[in-house]
Amino acid sequence: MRRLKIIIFSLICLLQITGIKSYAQPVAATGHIFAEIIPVYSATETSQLNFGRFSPGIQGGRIILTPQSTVAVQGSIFTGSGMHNAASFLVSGDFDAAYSITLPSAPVVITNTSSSRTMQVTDWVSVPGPGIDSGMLQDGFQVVYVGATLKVGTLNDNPVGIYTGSYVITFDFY
Amino acid sequence: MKHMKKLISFAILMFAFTAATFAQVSATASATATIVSPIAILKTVDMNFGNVAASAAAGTVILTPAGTRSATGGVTLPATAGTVAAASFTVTGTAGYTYSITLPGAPTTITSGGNNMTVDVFTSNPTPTGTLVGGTSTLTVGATLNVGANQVAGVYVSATPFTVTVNYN
Repeated sequence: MRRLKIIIFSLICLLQITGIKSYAQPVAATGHIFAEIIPVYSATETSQLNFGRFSPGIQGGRIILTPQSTVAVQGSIFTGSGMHNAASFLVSGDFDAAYSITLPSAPVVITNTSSSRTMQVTDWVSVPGPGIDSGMLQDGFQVVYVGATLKVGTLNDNPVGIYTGSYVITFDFY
Repeated sequence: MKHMKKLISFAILMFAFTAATFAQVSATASATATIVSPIAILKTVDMNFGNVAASAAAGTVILTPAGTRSATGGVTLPATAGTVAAASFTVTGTAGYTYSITLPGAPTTITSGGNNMTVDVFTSNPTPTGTLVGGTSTLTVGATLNVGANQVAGVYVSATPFTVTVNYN
């Protein structure tokens, strides 16, 4: 019995010396991964707003250019043979995204580069019309047409020449 | 055979002799063992790359363990970022112990309908080992999202979650 104790004692010592070690088990956890690819929204001017060629006459007047590119004249203006054109924008994005159109709220000034004389472009209209969620992409695209009214002075106010300017139209997606 | 019998007899004789002349000695030794808390890991936050805008050119989104992102190639990061988060895990165990971290070695696929992207190059903070200060440690994990050319819009989710393994050093 005593010998047995000694043997066990020796065995314990041996285990300590040889460094018997217990290893912890690795543990793991899992996590998910998310990402959202969103469509890239863009608006490109495909046609410039152009009131065409005309003569102011004695009193001047207004040229009303509709989004459908038709022209109506008020006052003493004589339209010429120059091409007139409503503006058009190609809006692209998600397949059926709704968006809002904001047109210039203040008159936009166009200037003759040589004489520095100006005219005002007012009463902006569009198809589809401006407003919240007025636009709706179909298969990711929609063309927006924009027209406006040009206020023309007398020939003295607005001498012959090309008048140019720029304006901002905003398409908001939500 | 005869020789073997002699050997056995001799062995028995020696054993008997040894037993008879054994001098009893004793010594004491201390045996110590330390029970440590088992290490555990728990996910607290899933990884989210947020909103990503694809283009005609492929690119990547690199999400750091700190949760910041950067884009390469044709990928852009929109102002409306959406939910962006590095994955976060809480590791618990014995205070002061260090642990090793094993991140996925293979890419994880995330899907949206029939469309796929892959996520690879997993990185972590801390790395490559962490310390259980006060018995707990927060482990954050980032990775790289590979976005294809004209990647179809949609919410992509990992079909199979990725695994992070920790163990005591």
